[in-house]
Amino acid sequence: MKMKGNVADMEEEDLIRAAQRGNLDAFNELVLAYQDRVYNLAYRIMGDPAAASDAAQDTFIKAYRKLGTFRGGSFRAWLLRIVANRCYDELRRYKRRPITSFEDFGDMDEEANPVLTSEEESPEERVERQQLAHYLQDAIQTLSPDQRVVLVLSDVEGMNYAQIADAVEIPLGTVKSRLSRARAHLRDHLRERGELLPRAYRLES
Amino acid sequence: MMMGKGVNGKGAQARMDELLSAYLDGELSSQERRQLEARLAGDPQLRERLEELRHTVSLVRELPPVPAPHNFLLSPEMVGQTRRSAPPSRRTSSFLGNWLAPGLALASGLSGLLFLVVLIGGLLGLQNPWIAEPTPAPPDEVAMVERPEEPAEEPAAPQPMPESAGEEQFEDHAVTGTQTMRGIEEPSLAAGDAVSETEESAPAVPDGEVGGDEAPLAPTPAALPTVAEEPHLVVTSTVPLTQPLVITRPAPVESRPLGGFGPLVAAFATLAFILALAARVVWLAGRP
Repeated sequence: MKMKGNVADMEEEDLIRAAQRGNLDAFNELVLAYQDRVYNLAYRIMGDPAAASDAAQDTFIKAYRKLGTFRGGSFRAWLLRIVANRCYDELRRYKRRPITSFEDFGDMDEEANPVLTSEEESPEERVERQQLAHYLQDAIQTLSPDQRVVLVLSDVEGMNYAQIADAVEIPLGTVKSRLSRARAHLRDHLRERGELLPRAYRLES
Repeated sequence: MMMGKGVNGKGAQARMDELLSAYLDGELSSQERRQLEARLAGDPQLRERLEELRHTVSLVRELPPVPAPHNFLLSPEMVGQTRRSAPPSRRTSSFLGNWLAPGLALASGLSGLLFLVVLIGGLLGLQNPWIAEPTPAPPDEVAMVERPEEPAEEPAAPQPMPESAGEEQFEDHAVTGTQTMRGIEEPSLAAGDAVSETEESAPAVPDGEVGGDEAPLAPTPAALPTVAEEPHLVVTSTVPLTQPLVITRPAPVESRPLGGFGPLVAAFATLAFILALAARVVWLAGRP
């Protein structure tokens, strides 16, 4: 046991054990390790930076409180389950949350939806990628909360069906059908408004 | 062959999309997968449908990760305070906070007030109905009349008084006083001595120093035989017998206010304290 050492040097398991005993510094190391991931998931589900920040903060507070119930396994999956459920509850509470329309995406500055830049990318290409990211996020916002959470867990987080079923507490078959409907909805969305897409990403019809 | 536009329309398409979606994720059983691949091989439209879906999924998967705009570190206050209390606890808290706690606080205040009234009254001697009589009646008659009536009880209540009084002013009797105390502590051992002491001193009292003034003293020896089984008790009463009557009187007068009103004072003080404590606890429990 190297518990006496600096929390920054601890392994994840040690940090979790220390945090379970009430060591907030140890837990904050876990926060630093997972906050990007938690925030990204919240942002993709909520589609709004402020709502995503609230969800991420609530997730870490709840995680700290419920840490005693964590019984090993993937800490990341455990955290993502908390944030997914937090977002899902929020979406159901505010079903008629105003949707950011695609035409407004110019207002969304890069800070809210930054895009990694590379040396080889031309300014035009970079703008196109940004437009696509905004457009996709906008399309995701049109999904029902049920479908949105499953789609983001699968295609943003890369969870398999069993992990999603466990996280959202729905049967495996329901995961399968919700995900399929969500993807079909997105596909139709892209098809209908394909002319808004940068040429490179347009679906051939 | 005509999978995409079958007779069943949307229902069939949805079922086919579900198969294609699961196929992309590698979540089909090996049998389902083989069947679908066989269909795909002979159906260009189905292949196109699959590619559209694959492209849609890849666009979502390639969405750039959005980093956290700031740190979400927890402070001790956040962990201790951010309590999202459920509606039921809010309801009880409003009840506790709005009614019960103030009620208890009010009751506590009233008890405290009564405590002060009783205490001040006691200090001013206003409440002396019981004590007022003995105080202005220092004459020995009254004292002596009371004494024989309850020879066994008296030593019990003012026990310390005869001892100190005897030591201070009556050196002669101080000896018997201390012996008495010893007798109380070790009754079995000192019983014989104590008895002999009483036998000696008791008869001596009426004859000697006290004289005719102390007429009421006569009953004391008469009482002696009845209490002979517990000599030490009698001795304490006989110690001050000669002259201490005047001295033993003032002591009870001062101690009586406590005796009469002490319980009331203590009761109100305790009640006030308990109610204040209860109000505090309720207030804390009811805080959202």
